Amino acid sequence: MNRQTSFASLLAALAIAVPATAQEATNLPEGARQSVSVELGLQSALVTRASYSRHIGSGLVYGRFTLPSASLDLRDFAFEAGGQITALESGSWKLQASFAPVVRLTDNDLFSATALGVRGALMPGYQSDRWGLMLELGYEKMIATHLNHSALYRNVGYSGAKDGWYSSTGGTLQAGLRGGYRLGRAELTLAAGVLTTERLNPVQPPFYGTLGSSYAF
Amino acid sequence: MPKLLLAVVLLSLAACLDPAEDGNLVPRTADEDPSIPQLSFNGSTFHVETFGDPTAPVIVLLHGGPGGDYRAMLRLRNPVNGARLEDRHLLVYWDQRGTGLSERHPENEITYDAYDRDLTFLIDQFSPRRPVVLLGHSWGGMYASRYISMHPEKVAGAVLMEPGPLTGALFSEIKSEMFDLDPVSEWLNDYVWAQSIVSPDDHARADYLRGLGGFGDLQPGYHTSKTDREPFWRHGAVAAAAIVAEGMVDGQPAWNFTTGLDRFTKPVLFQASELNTVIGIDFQKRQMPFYGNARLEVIAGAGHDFPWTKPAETVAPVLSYLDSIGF
Repeated sequence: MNRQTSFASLLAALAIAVPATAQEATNLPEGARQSVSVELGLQSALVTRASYSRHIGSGLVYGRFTLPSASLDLRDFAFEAGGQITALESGSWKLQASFAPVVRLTDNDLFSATALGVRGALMPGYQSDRWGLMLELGYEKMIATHLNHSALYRNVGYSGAKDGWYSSTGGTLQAGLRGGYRLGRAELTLAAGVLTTERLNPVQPPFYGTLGSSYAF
Repeated sequence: MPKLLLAVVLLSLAACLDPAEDGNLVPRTADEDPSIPQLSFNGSTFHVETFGDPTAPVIVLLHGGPGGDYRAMLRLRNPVNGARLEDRHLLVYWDQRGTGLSERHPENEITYDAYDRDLTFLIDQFSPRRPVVLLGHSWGGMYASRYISMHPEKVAGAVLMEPGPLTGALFSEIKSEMFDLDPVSEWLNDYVWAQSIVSPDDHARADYLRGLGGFGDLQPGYHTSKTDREPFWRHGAVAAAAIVAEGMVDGQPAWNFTTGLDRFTKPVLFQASELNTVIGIDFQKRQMPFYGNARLEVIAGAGHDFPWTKPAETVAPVLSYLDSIGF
């Protein structure tokens, strides 16, 4: 076996040996391996977020679509598809870690952008069948962003603004709490915390808060 | 193969533009570009231009903001019935410390005292033997008032174009009308969403994002034009934040730019726009008594951006005012 095959085998063994964790704040009900969820709230704009996750052993893979929803504008959205594992576990206490490539799009009066980045998060906390509470520590980094400047910006601002691919246009740190309560196959989730740039400069608004619901099947 | 892929990715990233480098998202500043008209003093390099006869009486223009620049005041150079401000005066246009195309500084180097020293230098440089007229729009009118309260001997007169609140107390009274932060407005959500892509982590990116905020309808009561927008070179995000912060005590607006204004008895011209419902005619009538000798001219059919949208209507009373004070 080469090193990559060994690593894959180890992951597979862990997946079989460790009870399933969930992207939710509580454990999934017996027999459920998938879930869908919707969250509404404020996180870098008023957003609506829809997620799908499929549990595979102790981890899961997920896809998440985020749409700023103050006024429906399909030119602004984010999509991430990644995975989450339970890195450490002792009873109902767990440390979960997630990682996902992210794409963010926007189109505003100044520029339109397609940003490619990654998002990682650590979520230590308590997770039982009925309720859960975890710390959310997240970092999202825009690695490469394509910017196109508007005619308005060129006319009344900077005519020499350069269109093209930019490296490392932004990064956001997130720290907060996520709690959930399960009612059968449904879970209600509340999350709130603070946001800053990666260099700890304030963003507006400097906090986030979402209310969500998921259904496991 | 993975190494090749990694090399391609790294090379691709190396070829990307740097968002922090001036000239990419925002223009270079005077300290970086010698082709920009400039003057270095007080430890900084400023974007400065003069128009008119260098021996003529001097008018120093003070742009709005804080954090704006003088580009939106350039139409004041346009002729009115064949006469221009610069025909009989030397106009000194400049971008205030940390704004427009002037050099950028960290927040702790942008202070009221530094702004005071900068204006004193310019007056001494261009008009060492004669007081000047200050012509300030919005924040520029506040800046002018603070300066006059401290150095009345250096000022022969002032044109205050719809200045913002000269005291923190006045600001507190009107702040609920001043800003419209509708949480479901598209522009506000565009702005905050953009921060997840471009972070305000250096001057270039912070100024760039502030430009996006400037396109928003933050102050609808000011009735600025959407079809003939005020132009700008480059917003000064850090300078704006620093000046605003210095006016606060324990988070409350506490500035008072009126102390000593009563010592200034020379005539002052206030201008107010007809359409501004927040700091327009009624508000300026409340501010005028801080001065001993002020009169008001209304710019009809205009909002707060009247020096840009109604330059002829703005300049005509200024020329009359200058005549009336023999300047």
